[in-house]
Amino acid sequence: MKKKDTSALHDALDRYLDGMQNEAEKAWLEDLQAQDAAVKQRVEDLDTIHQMLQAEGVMRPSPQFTQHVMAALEPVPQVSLLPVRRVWRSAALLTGVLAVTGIIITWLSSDMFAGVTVQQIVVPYADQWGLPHWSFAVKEKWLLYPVIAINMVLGWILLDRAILKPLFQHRRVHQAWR
Amino acid sequence: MITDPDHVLLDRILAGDQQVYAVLVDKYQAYAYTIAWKVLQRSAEAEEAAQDSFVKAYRHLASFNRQSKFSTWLYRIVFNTALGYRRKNQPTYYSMDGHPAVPAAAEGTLEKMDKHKYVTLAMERLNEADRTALTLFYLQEFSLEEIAVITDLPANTIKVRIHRARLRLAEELRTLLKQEALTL
Repeated sequence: MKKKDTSALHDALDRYLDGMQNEAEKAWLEDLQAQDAAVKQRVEDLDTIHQMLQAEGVMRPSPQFTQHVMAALEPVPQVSLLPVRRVWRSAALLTGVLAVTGIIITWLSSDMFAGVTVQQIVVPYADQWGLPHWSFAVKEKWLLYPVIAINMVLGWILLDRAILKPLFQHRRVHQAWR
Repeated sequence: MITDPDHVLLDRILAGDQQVYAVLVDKYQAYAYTIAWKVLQRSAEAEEAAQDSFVKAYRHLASFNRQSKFSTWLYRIVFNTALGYRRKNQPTYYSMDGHPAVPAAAEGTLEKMDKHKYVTLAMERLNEADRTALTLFYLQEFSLEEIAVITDLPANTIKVRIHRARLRLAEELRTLLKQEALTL
């Protein structure tokens, strides 16, 4: 039998065992069994296995199973739902991020960088490494905008992880408890 | 997050009502034990592994992210715990053809065995992953996707393993029957 035919036969056998064969494939498999004794034997073997496995069913442990498990449990699940230390640490970090963002925004809005519009950035140690001298100009505020954006994103992540998520989880659990 | 009625029970357990966990243990002990037994093939060890899995699940209940059903998460713990027990406690003997060998005592009693025992013996000759995929599939409690989550393998791989395991099982059964015929 060619590799392609073998693969088709295997697929057909799977569908046959799982009861998902269409009429055409059923007829094809029956023809094949009539022509090839090895295929017939294989179908019979698989049928036997399939029926035996189906008959195996679920097994039952000893009657004291639950009792043993409950006796082995610690008093309460290990992780507290509202870890106070973690919340305070994250809240302090969040305050820091928001303070930095606030300061930068205040500087920008007070035109603190109005006089310094262009910054020449020169590659350091260019002489030492034998690199050609080159530099590029960047407006100061275009350096600061990404810093503000990163701070805002960081702030939101911290707010979500540190305060909102534990708070909602805590509320959900206590509602279920009541 | 998926909808699972067990999640309400989990909330109560996490809020301090430890006794509610007994409801979950009662509900899932049979499947947990069956999975452990299929991996370990020994009753006492399977029961210990299944109990150990429930204790582990309880200990890590707060970190369960509820992206799957509780039962799927639990069975994954059972499967991994049973594999750990097997690696630790049960040596596997390999015959010359690379298949796990039939223990001598079992070989001597082959002729007395019924169909169920032949299947069990043939199953022992499959590798762990194929045997587990086949077992979970035939327990009819699990979809291919759930089996994939429990065993940490893609669903397509599970499909292939089930297919391959059925063929291998048929071959192993034939070999066992031939061996029995030769001993008569």
